[in-house]
Amino acid sequence: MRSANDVAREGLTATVEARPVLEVRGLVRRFGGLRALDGVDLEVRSGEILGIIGPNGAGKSTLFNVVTGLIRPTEGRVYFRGRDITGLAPHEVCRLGVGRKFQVPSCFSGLTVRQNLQVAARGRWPVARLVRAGGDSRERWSDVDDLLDRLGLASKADLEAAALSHGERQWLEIGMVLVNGCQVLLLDEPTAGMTLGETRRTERLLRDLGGAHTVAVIEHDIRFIREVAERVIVLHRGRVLASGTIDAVERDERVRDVYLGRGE
Amino acid sequence: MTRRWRVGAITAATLAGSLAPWLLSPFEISLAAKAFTFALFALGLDLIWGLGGILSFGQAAFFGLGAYALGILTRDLPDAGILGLVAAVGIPALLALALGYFTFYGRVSGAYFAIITLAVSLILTQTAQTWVELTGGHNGLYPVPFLTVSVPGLGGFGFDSDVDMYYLAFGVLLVVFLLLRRLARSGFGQALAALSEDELRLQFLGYDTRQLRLIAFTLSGALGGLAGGLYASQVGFVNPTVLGLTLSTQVIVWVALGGRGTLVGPIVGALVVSFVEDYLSDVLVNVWVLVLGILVLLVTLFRPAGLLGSSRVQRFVGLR
Repeated sequence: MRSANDVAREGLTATVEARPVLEVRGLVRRFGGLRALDGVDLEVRSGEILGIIGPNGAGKSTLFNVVTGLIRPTEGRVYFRGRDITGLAPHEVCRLGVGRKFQVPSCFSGLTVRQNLQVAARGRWPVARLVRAGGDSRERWSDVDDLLDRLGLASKADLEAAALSHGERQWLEIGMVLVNGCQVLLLDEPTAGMTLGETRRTERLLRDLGGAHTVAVIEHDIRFIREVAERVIVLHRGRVLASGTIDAVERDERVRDVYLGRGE
Repeated sequence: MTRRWRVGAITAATLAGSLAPWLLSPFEISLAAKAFTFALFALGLDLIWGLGGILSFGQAAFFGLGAYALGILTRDLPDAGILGLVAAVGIPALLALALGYFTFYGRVSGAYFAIITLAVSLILTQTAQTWVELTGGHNGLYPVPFLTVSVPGLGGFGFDSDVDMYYLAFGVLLVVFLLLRRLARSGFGQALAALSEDELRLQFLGYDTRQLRLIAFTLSGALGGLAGGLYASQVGFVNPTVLGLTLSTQVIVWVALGGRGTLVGPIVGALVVSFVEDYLSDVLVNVWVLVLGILVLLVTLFRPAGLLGSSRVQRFVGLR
């Protein structure tokens, strides 16, 4: 088990790298006649928090699905640290270091909060180690305990995840992705369904990751993106419409048209 | 606190099982030995279905294959009990491995998996009926001798009475239960529990879910085979019904009635149903099947997780 310090150190050395951590080139994905992705090029740089915005149906979730190996692209390639990972299975992409949070909070409802995090922490272990691990499911893990505190879930550690509120389930899943040990995190609408207070907390959580992780986050909540993202990409109809700082993107006429629905 | 009760319960069950032969009639002893092997069989199904969330509808294929493997080997080599047991475990495990590989890695799931396992058990039943030289066809293998294990240089031991077979079956059941409980509590068991809830989420955490399923299914096949092997030497004959649909359905009933995913439930389900069945079928003959059917219906409607299927039981067993 790697400590949080190890993860942070890896993050720091990664910041020095010149190459983007994640790179997408000419990505096309067709569903029948629909081009959900229509030639997307983008890169996620080491240590940054990249916001991905765009109207519904712009191809944001499809982009994540292709990058993480859930579906194959019709054309184009995905590179992780310069390595072509196009067409790898989801668990292989994860094992290389790309973690993912789903749009709908998906934690394991029948397991306790702590067990959810333990399952996540062991995600990249070989089977033999899994079989040997933990005769006692109440074993103490400092990483898991730290995370429970940071997520504000320490008092609910031994409750079944089903008993959590929607916002807490979102945090739990973010926690699962964190403790899983991936350096790159793809977060699909992490604040969906959260109250304003919960959203604020999520902002702080993400900002605290700073530098140690590379994050790409899909959100509809522009205020949230403004708070956390250093750079923003706007997707529209499967293409990158604009990219830059949130201010620059918001001033962009084409982006305004798309969001306000003026013309095409 | 729970822990002390748990140790107490396991100790009590061990004592009860060890002392029972002094209280039971010879008929009941052989009945109990048979019920233990059925419980072992049910544990195997609980591993893949209760813990892994995949229903195998042809579990008898493994049971029957184990029974035939041991039966054929000990018919021809009466002292080769160990070899027979190895074959009874190994051959069904290999079948499960091959079957699981092609289905899980071929992304076959759910109902299709159930149908494929069902088809395999029907094919094996047909084979056993027609390959008369090897299996004795419809009449089956008879007699299968008592299990005799011999180690070169150390001599041998024959489980040549019903009491011996009783203790063998009981001991194996106890050991397998404890091992499975340990497995269910391990990181592997937790991953299986998570897998039955949300396979995709688990994949995105880095788990190779195909591999997890394949391992669970192979183990489940091995346990089915072990139960079948013990059964063959207990009852002294093997015929094609050990491979058939009826037995596959029965084991599902035991696990479903008892409470899947609890390890204890399937054991209780198998023991209770086999005992009640043996007593009632004398008195009521065909009515028994009707009674069992109604019971299954009622449990499915009012207690879908099974009689012992609750998170309290799971916690008590130490699975949560």
